[in-house]
Amino acid sequence: MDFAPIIISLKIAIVSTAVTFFIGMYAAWKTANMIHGKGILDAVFTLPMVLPPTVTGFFLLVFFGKSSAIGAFLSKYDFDFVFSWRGAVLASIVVTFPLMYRTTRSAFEQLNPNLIDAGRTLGLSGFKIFWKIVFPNCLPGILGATILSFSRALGEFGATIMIAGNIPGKTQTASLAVYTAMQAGNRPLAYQWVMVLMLISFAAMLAMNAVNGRQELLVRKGGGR
Amino acid sequence: MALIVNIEKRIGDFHLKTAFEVEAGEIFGLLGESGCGKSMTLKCIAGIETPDRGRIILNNRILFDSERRINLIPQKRKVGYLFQDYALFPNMTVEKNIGIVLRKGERVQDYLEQFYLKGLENHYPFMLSGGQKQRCALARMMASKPELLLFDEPFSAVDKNLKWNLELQVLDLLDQMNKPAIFVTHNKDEIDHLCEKVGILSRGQMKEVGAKEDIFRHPKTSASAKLTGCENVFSVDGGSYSYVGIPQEAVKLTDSEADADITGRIERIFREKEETVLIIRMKKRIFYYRCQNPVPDRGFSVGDTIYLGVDKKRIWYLRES
Repeated sequence: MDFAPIIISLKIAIVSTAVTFFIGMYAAWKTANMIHGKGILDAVFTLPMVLPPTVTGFFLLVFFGKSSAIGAFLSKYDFDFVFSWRGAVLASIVVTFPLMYRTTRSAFEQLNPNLIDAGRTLGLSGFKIFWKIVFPNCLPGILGATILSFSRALGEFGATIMIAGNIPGKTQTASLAVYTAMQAGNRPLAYQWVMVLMLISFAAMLAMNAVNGRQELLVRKGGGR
Repeated sequence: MALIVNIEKRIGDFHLKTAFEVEAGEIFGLLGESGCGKSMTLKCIAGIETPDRGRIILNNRILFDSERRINLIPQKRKVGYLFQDYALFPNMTVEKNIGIVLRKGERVQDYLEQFYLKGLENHYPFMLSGGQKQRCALARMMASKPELLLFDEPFSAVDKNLKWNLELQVLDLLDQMNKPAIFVTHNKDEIDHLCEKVGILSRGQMKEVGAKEDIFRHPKTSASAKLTGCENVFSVDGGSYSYVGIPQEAVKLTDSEADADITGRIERIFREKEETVLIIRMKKRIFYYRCQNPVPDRGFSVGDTIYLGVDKKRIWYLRES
């Protein structure tokens, strides 16, 4: 059996989740505390979640394709996104960002605002307040968001095939392998990848439920609003 | 003056406008019904909220001045804030809750000892009783070395037995240090126990500021009269005054209609331990009469007509504001 597709999938999912983890959390923290313009920013950040992935992929091609200014510039330094592993990571980041952003934001909004205000009146820096108070008290919610993003990245199809293509051994992920196997009429191979993807997704959802339970426990212990 | 506050803030229809001064070692009580802007006032002083206009000066340091565009962040104000829910960090033990505030070279042990928290170092907030939680919150607040203490209804969610304990803890702390403090509540008894000076806040407006004895004994506005416990405040057309307050001391039972200033029908009777409260329906108004137990021999029953005499010298003539 050729393990390449699942290894490529995992690699892409891990790298893109690591990036989404920080930028999604940062965007969530900034918008959770915003007073003006929250609605518009929220709509922009959530857009990739509701857009068809092919449309997201189309925009990525427009911005990062060889004919665009950014694409041409990056191409000079051999940093291509089109038909490359990087493109698949980029597509996954864009598609998973709304999940990370929305789920962590709801965890932040559930947090008792007095905890943050208490930290401020006690003279703690913003950095300390975030990493020592907000982050640990929202950790289950943040973990849940991360698992969700990871699972989504693992199953990413539309935007990935648009920008990174379907090159075996290079950009062919497990979900693309299912599609390719079906196209080629190789049902046993399709079944094999379907089973692998289902097992991973199921395990992720079990983990998700476990951390959700912990968030509720934390909220009951006084971390909640 | 240790603290000078004069601020205005508009939020939608709500208009907050307060001005008062607090001396070092003095406990200033802000009394008002819920939603009157008490907590908002404290949050403006602590820097959690920003007023639209005005000034806040603490020990000659300008914390906020709209004209000079000064607005210190909460971290730099040196204002301690005790939240109603104490806002202890749930992910940290008692020791860590206090330790996170301390600077290098300071010992958590000193605070654990001073606030009787020894033996509870490794407890998480959810494992603490109400009194222990408050001691932990007080210790944490003192660890940040505040120059002003703010108390946001710390006793309103606790039962009576615990309340005494908590009040004593706060009084002990305040006696030890010569710093100004503001205590916010809707409960006149807490003000009575803890404060020397009172401000009456109603719908965002400061109605009256003065010594506790003066305001409690002879309020000058309708809001003060109601908040300090007078049940009988009526609006009247009176030229220089627009309300009258009739304190219970001014009312006595009479037998004949001729001596009566108030005639009404008893609508309900509440028999309390010390007093019997009669709800009396007058023509358009409801009058509350508290009769010390034991009640007169003839007793009261619902539906009876009752005659009350009012000592006019003891009536309060009240302004709107």
